[in-house]
Amino acid sequence: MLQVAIKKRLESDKSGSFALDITFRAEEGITILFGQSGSGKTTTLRAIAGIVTPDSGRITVGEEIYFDSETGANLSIQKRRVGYVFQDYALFPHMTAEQNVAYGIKDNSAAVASRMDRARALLTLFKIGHVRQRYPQNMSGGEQQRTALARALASDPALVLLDEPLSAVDAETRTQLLDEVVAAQERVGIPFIYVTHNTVEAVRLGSHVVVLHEGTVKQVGGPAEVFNTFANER
Amino acid sequence: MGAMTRKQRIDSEISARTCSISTTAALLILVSFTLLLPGCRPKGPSTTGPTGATELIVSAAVSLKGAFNEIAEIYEKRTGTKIHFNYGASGALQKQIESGAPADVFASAGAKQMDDLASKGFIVAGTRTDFARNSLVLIVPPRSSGIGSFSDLTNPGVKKVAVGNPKTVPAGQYTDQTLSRLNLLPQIQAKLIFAEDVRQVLDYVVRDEVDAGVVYSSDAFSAGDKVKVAARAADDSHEPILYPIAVVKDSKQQAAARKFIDLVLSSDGQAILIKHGFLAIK
Amino acid sequence: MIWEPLKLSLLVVTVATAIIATLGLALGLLLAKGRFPGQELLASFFTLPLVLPPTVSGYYLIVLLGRHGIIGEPVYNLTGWTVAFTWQAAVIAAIVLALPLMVLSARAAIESVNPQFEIASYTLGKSWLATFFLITLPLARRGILAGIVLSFTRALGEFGATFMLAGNIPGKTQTMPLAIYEAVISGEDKRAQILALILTGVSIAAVYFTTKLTKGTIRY
Repeated sequence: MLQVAIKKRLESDKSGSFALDITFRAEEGITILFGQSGSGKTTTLRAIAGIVTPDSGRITVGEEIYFDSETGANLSIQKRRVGYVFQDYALFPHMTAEQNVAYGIKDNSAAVASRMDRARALLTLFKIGHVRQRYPQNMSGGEQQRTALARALASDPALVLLDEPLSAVDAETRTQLLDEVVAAQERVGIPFIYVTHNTVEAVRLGSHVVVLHEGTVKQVGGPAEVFNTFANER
Repeated sequence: MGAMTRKQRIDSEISARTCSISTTAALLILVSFTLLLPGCRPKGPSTTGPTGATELIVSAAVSLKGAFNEIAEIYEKRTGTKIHFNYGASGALQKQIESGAPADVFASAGAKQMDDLASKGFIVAGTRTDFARNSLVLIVPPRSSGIGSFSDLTNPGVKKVAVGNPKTVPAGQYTDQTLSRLNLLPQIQAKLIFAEDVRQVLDYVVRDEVDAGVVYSSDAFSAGDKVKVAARAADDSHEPILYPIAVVKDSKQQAAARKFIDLVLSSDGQAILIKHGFLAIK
Repeated sequence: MIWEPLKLSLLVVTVATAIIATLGLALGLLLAKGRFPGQELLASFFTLPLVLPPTVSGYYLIVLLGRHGIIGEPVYNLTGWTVAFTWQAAVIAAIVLALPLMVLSARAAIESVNPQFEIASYTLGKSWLATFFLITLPLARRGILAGIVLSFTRALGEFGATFMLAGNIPGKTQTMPLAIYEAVISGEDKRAQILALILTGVSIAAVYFTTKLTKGTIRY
């Protein structure tokens, strides 16, 4: 339901400038965007969210056209129904966990109280109801990650983008969180696009892996076939 | 990794929108500027006071404050016209008038500023007149002894003498003339400390920072017994120190303005000026 | 004779600070986020009153707004009113001289907010305006408050430009700094001391209360 076909000229701090030329589709479940640093995977994610504008191409989600360079269509970040989990979570430091989660809840007709209720329900669902009145700096990495995911889901998105959300977390918590991400996706039933350079995560999470290398799609397929046939450049 | 381009894209969108944020803010400002509208002011008077009586604005050099405040009391009692003083440095007052500030009378501490205004047409012809003179005095700290005349300044015991800066302060120029006339400059040039206004000279002497200073007799008067007058410069040792006064061209109260000048020139006015250390214009 | 200049100063500074806070914030935002040609030139222009001697700024003000001024003349011809020698002139002088401090502080404070937070807000559906008030402003609060305090105290002490444009008329435009100047110059030492002490007290009180307000904020 997500179709991406974009080109963009980039400056990369690793290998000078190179061109991004990405084409892929994502259907149900979790799609992994896999690649090393500088391969363009985060840029692709940002393009889908609308944070970055490609030089040319087309991005559609279902019937909605997010970007089309031929017609000049370019939906603003706000109008795209995309939930984004940042690498460092970007939780608002001046708000509590529940305020963070409630922030994205659109239901304007509802009173503040009911928005808070929904936020609390989400936090409880992620098993962090007990931190709901805490500020981000007083939460553990795992709690922050779950809060960030809850916040992204609270805005009722059509699509969730996750940018290496577990890179800052220790290995033990990571395993636990990976299970929770899978569970969350199954629960909400909307596509997750998950960016990572970690093969363990990719294998555990993805039903569908898109391998990126220096700005282009090298390979596409299920995790097993991809990691067996793909010469690991690590 | 695309950071620059992402930023560019966001910022160009945002700048278009910050234009409208500034417009909103600007509108807010405009609204708050209505606070400034002439309608809403404190008890501030205009040239017609609340009772309909006329009011006069007199721009005068600060050195005239003591004398003029007293003269104004008499004026207000006799005519019922309220006087608002705008005391400042003569040069700044001149600039204000040139820029159209609504003063009615201008009293300067030196001829230059009045000359400038007159040549540029800001003064009502025929109203300019000198109303007071001043003299230069040598002052010393109250407990000092051994200095009884200008020539005593050459004594080796006298190390520092404060005077106005001849380049910028009229009092300094007159001092320079007197010291030249008395042939003292070569010997005491090195002892001179230049101040940017007469007040500073007074201060130095009062605080015993210098051995002596040269100020106007009116300044020495205002300092009372904080300084001792050691000597007075002869009137012919410098150009006459004259204070001119005139009616400002754009004044809306010219009759009342002339009356004020008349009062200053009258025996009552002159007596008050003498009382404050000036010399009558005779 | 003590209360008149104090009342006037408080009136002038309150109005001026209100205007400076809003205008300075808007300009700070524009300079922080905008990308338009001549932007840094505009920024330098706004910083000018900071580096010029206040009397020079006052001179430019009176050239602009006086009865024969570029803006002042048409206003005078239209309404018969001139801003010179009015309390509004004191407000204008205070604004011109203190605004740069607010703009610089606001700009720096807004620029210091991690853009990631603002982007996160956009992905959650909030408009740029809502984001500015809900995210940027609260996170930039300390710097902005510092800017307001700085410009408040600058406006309180403003003298040179005020004198040029507003004159030194007791009861009408004689603010505290002007009153102190006049008292010192005319040898009224007692009065000068009292006025100076009061002004110091007001400044300390203002800064103290503002510091208390920002005490409780979390370090981000």
